Amino acid sequence: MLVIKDLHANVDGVEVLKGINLNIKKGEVHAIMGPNGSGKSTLSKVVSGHPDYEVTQGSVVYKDEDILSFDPSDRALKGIFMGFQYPVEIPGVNNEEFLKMALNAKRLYQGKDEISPEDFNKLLEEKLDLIKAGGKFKNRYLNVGLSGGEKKKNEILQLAILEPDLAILDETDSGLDIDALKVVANGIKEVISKDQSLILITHYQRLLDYIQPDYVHVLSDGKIIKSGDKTLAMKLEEQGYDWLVN
Amino acid sequence: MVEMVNENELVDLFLNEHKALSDSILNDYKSITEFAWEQFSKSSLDLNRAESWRYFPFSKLLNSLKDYANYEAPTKIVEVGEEDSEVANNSIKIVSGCLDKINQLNDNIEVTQTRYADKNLVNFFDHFFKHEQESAKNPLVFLNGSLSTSAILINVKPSEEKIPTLKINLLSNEPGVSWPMIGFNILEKASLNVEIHVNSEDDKSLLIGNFFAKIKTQGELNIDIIQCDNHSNGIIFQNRFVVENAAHLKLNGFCRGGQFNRFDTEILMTNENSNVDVNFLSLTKGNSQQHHFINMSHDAPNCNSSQLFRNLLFDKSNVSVDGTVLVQKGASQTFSEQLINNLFFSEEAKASTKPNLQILNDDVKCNHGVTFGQLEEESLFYLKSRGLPEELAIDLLTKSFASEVIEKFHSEEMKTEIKKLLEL
Repeated sequence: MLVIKDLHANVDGVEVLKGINLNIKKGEVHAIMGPNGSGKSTLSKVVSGHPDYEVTQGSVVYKDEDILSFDPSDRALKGIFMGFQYPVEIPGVNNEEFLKMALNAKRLYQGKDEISPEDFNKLLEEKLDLIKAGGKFKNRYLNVGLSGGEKKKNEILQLAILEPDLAILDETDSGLDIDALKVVANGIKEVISKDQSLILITHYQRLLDYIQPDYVHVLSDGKIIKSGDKTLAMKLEEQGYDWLVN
Repeated sequence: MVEMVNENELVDLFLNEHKALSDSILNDYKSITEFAWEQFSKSSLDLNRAESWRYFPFSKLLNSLKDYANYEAPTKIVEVGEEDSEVANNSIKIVSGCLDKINQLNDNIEVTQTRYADKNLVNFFDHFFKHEQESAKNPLVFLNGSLSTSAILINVKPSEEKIPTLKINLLSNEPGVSWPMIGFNILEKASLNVEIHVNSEDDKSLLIGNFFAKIKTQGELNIDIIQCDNHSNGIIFQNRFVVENAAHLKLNGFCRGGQFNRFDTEILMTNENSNVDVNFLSLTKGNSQQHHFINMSHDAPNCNSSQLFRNLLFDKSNVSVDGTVLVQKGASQTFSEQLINNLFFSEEAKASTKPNLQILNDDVKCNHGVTFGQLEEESLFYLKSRGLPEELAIDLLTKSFASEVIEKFHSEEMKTEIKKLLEL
């Protein structure tokens, strides 16, 4: 699904990724952990095509195609979804309309007709139920007036509607209280199918209590310094990163 | 580099134009207006003269015109009651400065018109607004007193039932200069919503529109204006509103197109507890210019005023907002706010603002803010990361920027129309 080889990337002329190698197969769940400033968010932005990040070396191959020259919207249409750590507020753009536009953009790319208003309403209701979200997510402006937890829930709603093949969730658990974390984590579990691949970027083991990863990677100073199974996350929770970094 | 133009030269050109008009007293209207356009475009629409236009001394010109306003001309004050099924109910159509059609006005709205006005027009408005001294100082009155082809007064009486929205279509359909003048007299406890469309069907027209309004005790006037021009025309709007005791004025505008647009607006809050809300959205492209001068005067205690300007600038367009808020001595508990946001889609576009707070009383709250910027890259990335093509993402963000002003419009139809006009 996704093969990252020797990936180096700069932001503002400073090298942040210093040779990332990662191989993610269909249906796998990978957790990426690491101390602040290690390059976790940068990795997610480079894969999804943020223009501020300059790739200086290496490749990102998704479904056998090097995607580094592709625009973010092309990457999304090909099936990559990034869940934002800080979802952007866009006043004046209705959330429901936005979801429909995004879905129709994908359908158009896939050669399908636009979804009918009736079918979209049905789909939206179904996904809202799935993530236990109320009607307030329909009629609001995009992320405007939502709490931190609700914004994350709205990201999961978009994930549910767009059904990407690869989802990268950047610190979806940050800023959530225990109850909100449970709701969001269960939402992710509900919407991700066994055919979809998932990269969870997180600081904490607690998200992984709900979504069990197949692999855990530790990122430090722009490189993956350790990979393992879910027990690695537990060890990190107990001992921190010092034993790996120093 | 901005080329500064000789102000006296421009004044002379306008005076020549006026001389030609006064000599023929509308016997040959077409040739005069074409001549006027020629002078206007030659002397003033030079695209490098943005700053000159912005600060063109209309008052100096207009004061000079006073001397020419003394000729005799026939003045008619006529009741207008004609109906025309071709236009919407409760509507007025004004073509090239003259009242053209009027249809099924609500019983609580009376329209009176004077034509071929000269200095008597001053008396006409003085009669209704009883601001003799101020009117005499107002250069606009002399401009129209000299050159106006039509002045319309709309008198609104209170009604127990809601008065339907009054629709006014202000159209320029031939090259030349037109000078419509519309006065609203909102009587005590009366309320009126007005939708005004300003369009042109041809190139080379200069529309000088004057809106005057007096809103009496507990009266309410909501004006929504859309100006959309696909031609290289000029518009100068000079507006003056007097807001009395516990009265409300809401003025919402959207402006797209035209070569040169200037909006001079003076609002006087003369009595206690009045409220004024001004919201303006503009989209400028090419070499077009748009300049706002707004003067908000708080003359009495406990009045609120709010101004919001949002400007979308493309290509080499040039937009300015000069906003003065004057809080007079004794105007305690004033609340006033002014926000101007400029969004650039081109590195060659220019925007400038001059907020000016003159506060002569303690115990007031006034604030102002200005922003200049481009589309937020993070927002653009967010939308694109959901698969939206760049064009659609930019379109959405543009509408997002505009949305706060659009939502202030009273008319749902106009909100939809503006969203369509914003499609890039």
